[in-house]
Amino acid sequence: MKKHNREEQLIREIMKDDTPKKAPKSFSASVMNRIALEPLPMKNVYEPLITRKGWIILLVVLISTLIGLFLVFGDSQGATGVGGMFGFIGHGTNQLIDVVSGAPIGVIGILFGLSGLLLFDRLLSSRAKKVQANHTV
Amino acid sequence: MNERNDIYYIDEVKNGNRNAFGVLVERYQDMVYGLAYKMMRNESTAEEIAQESFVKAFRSIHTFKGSSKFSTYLYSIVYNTAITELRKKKIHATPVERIEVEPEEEQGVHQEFFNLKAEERKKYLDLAMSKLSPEEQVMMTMFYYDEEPMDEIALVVGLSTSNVKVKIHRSRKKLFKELYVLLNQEIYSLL
Repeated sequence: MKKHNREEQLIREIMKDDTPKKAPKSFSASVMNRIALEPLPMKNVYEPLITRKGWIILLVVLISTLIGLFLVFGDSQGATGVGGMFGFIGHGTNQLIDVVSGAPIGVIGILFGLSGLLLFDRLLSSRAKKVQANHTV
Repeated sequence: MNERNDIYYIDEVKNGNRNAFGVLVERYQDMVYGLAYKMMRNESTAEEIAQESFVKAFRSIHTFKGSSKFSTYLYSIVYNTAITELRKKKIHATPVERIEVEPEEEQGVHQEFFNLKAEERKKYLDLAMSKLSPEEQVMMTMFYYDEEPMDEIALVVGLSTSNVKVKIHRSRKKLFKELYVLLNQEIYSLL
């Protein structure tokens, strides 16, 4: 330990002569000329359309709607035990498919398109976060 | 005049005042150029690396969160830019011969070193440092000359703090060996 400390002290004194080489006189001007050609850095790269809280609310609304639809369309008469529960879910699903298949093609297209855009937004925001994390020290 | 801290100028740049970046360039140009030169050992390449590093720092300044010092942020950009350049050029450090320097000889190296004139000391230290790898040189300079803490050095070179500690210890031994060889050569040339 004593040897280590002495060695540390010796090298610390020697390294005081390790003065860095000074930049050339025109260096700062050259850098600023290059900076002048650069676009101004953007403060926020990307803001997601729907925040994490928004996604949670959307999920709760969707699940509540689905449960509500099952309760409306599900046939619970005579349903007891696990078998009865599966029958109830099966019947509810069939009814739901009937309702959806009866909907106009335009409405279905809009719903699919909207879902696709929301997923794309999510993908962009996660990529932006990754890029930001890689550049942050 | 430029008494304000780095964060003030960084915020100014983030708010669209690109001239504020000039203050940061003035403040850190010697540090950035010095590090680039240490790694590249060539004035024109060092200037190119240093300029490129400042431009990169400007482009990504919005990602600087202030969790580390701005100098560390700059150091890591220069280090990575220089390492990429060195890999392109496939420049490797010369391996140090396995010579064991005894504690008494370490004391001798220290005495002989300080018997030299300032410019000779600088020359020998530069020569000895050039035998270390770029990574070792950066760690030695940051730790012993800039007196940066090990966790900041770890951020720059992308290693764990304990790994940096071990590497600095090894680099110190290597530097002593190199100085020992160089100073002995000097003595023999005088005889």
